[in-house]
Amino acid sequence: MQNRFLLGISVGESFAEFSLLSGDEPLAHKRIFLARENLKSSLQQFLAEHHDKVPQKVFISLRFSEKLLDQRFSGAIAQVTTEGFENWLNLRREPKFSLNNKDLSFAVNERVRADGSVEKSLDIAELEAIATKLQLVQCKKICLYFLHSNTNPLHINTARSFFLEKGFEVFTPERTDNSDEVSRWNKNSLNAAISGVIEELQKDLAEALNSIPSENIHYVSSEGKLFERDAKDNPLSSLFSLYTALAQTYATKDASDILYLGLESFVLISGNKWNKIWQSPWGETEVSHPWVTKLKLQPTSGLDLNVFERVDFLSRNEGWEPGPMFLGRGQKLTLLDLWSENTKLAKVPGLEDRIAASGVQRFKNSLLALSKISRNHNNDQSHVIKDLQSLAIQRMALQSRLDRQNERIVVTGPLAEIFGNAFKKDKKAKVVPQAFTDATATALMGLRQLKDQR
Amino acid sequence: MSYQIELFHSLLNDFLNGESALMTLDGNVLAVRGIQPATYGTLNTAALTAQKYLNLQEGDIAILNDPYSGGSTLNEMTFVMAISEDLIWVLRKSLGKSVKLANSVEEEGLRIPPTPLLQKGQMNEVIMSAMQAHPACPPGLAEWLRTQCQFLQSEAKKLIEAIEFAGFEITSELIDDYLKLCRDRARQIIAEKASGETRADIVLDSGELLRLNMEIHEGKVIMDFSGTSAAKTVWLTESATFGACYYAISSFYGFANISNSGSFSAVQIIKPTNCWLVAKYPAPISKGLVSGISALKSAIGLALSQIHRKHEKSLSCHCPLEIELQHQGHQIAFSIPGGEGATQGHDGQHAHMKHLSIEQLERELPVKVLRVDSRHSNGGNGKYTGGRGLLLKLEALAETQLTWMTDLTLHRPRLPKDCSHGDPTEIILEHSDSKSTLPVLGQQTLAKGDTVVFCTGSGGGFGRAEQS
Repeated sequence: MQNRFLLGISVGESFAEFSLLSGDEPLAHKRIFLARENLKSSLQQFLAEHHDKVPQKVFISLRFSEKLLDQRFSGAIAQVTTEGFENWLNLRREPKFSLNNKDLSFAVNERVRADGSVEKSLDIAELEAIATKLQLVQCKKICLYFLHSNTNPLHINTARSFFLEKGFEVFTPERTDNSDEVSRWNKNSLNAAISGVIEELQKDLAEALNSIPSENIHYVSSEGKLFERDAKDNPLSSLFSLYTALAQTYATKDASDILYLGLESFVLISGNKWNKIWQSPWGETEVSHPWVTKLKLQPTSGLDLNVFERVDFLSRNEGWEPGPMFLGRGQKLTLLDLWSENTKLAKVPGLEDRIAASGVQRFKNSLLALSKISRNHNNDQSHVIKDLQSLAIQRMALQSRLDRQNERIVVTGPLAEIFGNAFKKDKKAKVVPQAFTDATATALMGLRQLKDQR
Repeated sequence: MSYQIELFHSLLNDFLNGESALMTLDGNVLAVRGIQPATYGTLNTAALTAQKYLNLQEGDIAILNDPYSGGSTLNEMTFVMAISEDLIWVLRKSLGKSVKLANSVEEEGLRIPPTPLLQKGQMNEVIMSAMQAHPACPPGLAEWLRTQCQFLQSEAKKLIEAIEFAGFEITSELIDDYLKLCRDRARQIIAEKASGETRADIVLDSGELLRLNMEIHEGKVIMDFSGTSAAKTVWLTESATFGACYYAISSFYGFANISNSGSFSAVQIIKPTNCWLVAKYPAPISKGLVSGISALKSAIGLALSQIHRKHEKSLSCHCPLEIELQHQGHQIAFSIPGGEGATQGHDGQHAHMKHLSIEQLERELPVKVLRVDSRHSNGGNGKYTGGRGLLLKLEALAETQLTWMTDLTLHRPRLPKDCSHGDPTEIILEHSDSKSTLPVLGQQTLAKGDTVVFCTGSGGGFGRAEQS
């Protein structure tokens, strides 16, 4: 692999990273803020800047936003179930996390028994009637949920073929050894909900990478495996791909957890402990992934009065759109704002030319105003900032110690240099500040996978 | 650094998971976390009882499930661990769900009083063997206890290391300040809302009366249960009663996340010694933890609604339907909740289920689920409608033992004038051509072809429905 160029691409909720490597040595990097820069043109520009180093292999990790699911960007999705179970998925979720449209919910009178034998055969006439109704309302996507289809897929396969022939996009739960239908169905339902957005994202990436043969472009999955772009009916499988890549790239040989201090999230990852089920807001969902826990404090955790009416971090995450106040657009105080005058933060790629003096001042004024109405009011602005910085760092260090799955821990990520001080006293912690962990880890894991496949 | 309180508070939140509490050796509860109301009163009782009889030393672990020593149901084990010279950690873990209809606590299973499990780093093999030899002991208990002890030791080690690593000293001054702050804050939150007094009566289906006289004054909630009847078939231990009352109050006011000795002092409970809220050995407890706690939630909800008119909420179906199905040694138990009451401005939330797989149920037992859906309600009407209950219809494919339990279906309490009642829970058995409504609890062998429809109650409606 020496002298071959690799490109790692990591697309997150708010930022995307590109890393160009020669073998496993990084050559060039770039981070873009997706709210302001276009992914496709930025990637094209990055490749043009390095036209003399055409990557032979490209590895991509996608981490879509949970907000996408809330907003149901993928349009209307119908569901067809075994009769009597039209609402079963919704009944296993909290009502506020419902994904299904009741008007597009249909049932067919088929039944497979628990042992796989057929009790009531599937009647194609029923499918015909459903297809006609869906064509009338121009609904293109269908999820199929038939009881015991994991044991005997005869009916679900027949229905799938039928709807595919009629031109529908059909989503069916994967056949696995998981005996709980709800977590399998949930995965299918979330896949259907995000498929449109992921397809658009993959299309943008394919267009930007059109000079590279498609067989050399690989997506990485949460299990650390490689898959091709046309596996678009299972986008959820990439949800944890970045964390898998980080765990496989930065964990030490004697087994360690990774504390990833990224711009979008602070996450504790254990690469040698795996979960088959994701406890998602939509209910238990079958996604195999490394053990991951989000720290209670996140880069954009809000600041407000706590239950004791003192200034503290909220459990609510404000997000990057419009972002922390120091970037000039945010309206709400966030954790990262506390470091707005930190010179190391100002040098973090992707933020270096974004910091607005007016934003920094607005943050200070807002914090002082908040401090004045709090029970522990303090008129010394710098004192308040220092105290809150210290509280944040100690809380992160405490939680990462309590939730750790291995004795040792590697602290890395673009913000590791800023928050790494918290781990100075921890003899079992190793701080590895890396500005571009996401794309680099994606490329290195992809490379390892290719070698293993060979 | 002036944020010691916040750091301490987040340490407690980060450490405590599930049904658990951290206490000091001298009996101060630093924090309790959990989703079971009884937890908020029973865990500290468990710690105090274990410490009183066993005098736990650093690293020792005791176990109990006896409700009269601070346990809850007998299939939930409470571990008490001295994690340092002055801190005690209490953790409750479930061995699995079951529905018990018994006449005494001894019939509900193996009752374990406070028992030393790990002393000076050694597992108490003699006691574990004795427990395992008991006919009512769940299979594999000894192995499960060993695994739990390893987990407790590892988590306790992490806590000690985290405290040392942060250079954080949990001094008595810090504890006093924290408890005082929690107490003052809980009282302030209560005082900021309305004050007043009211009465709410709830009659259980087995005939017990729950009479609550609630008085809210100067940031304190006094719940006087004078007039509450003696038990017929429902009993609740004193500690579970306190837990249920405190949990209902702290959830309503929003201070459940600062539950400790400080905030406990904002709630005062008065109860006659001969009422069903003061269970005495050997009264059974399982039913009380379902029916009794649901009755307390209903009474407290009604009373709070009457005092806080601005936050009026119609009555929710607080009592779930507990079901257990058995066939040839295979058993599955699950709980079906009811709908929530509507409020001024919002419909009640429909019931939803947790942890049930239709495919697993059909694979493990000879039953066929015919339908599962939201229940169509006749009650719970109003401008804002009550949340719907659930409907589960199943057919027995072979002889199957059914045990079920619910309550609060027969007597309708008096409601505020803007509120309406929801539908009560119903269980209907279809056998051959006959159809019958089953009582609120019982045990029955379902014959092949029998069909049972379980319908949980809906929440009450709010306001006058607009005429169309």
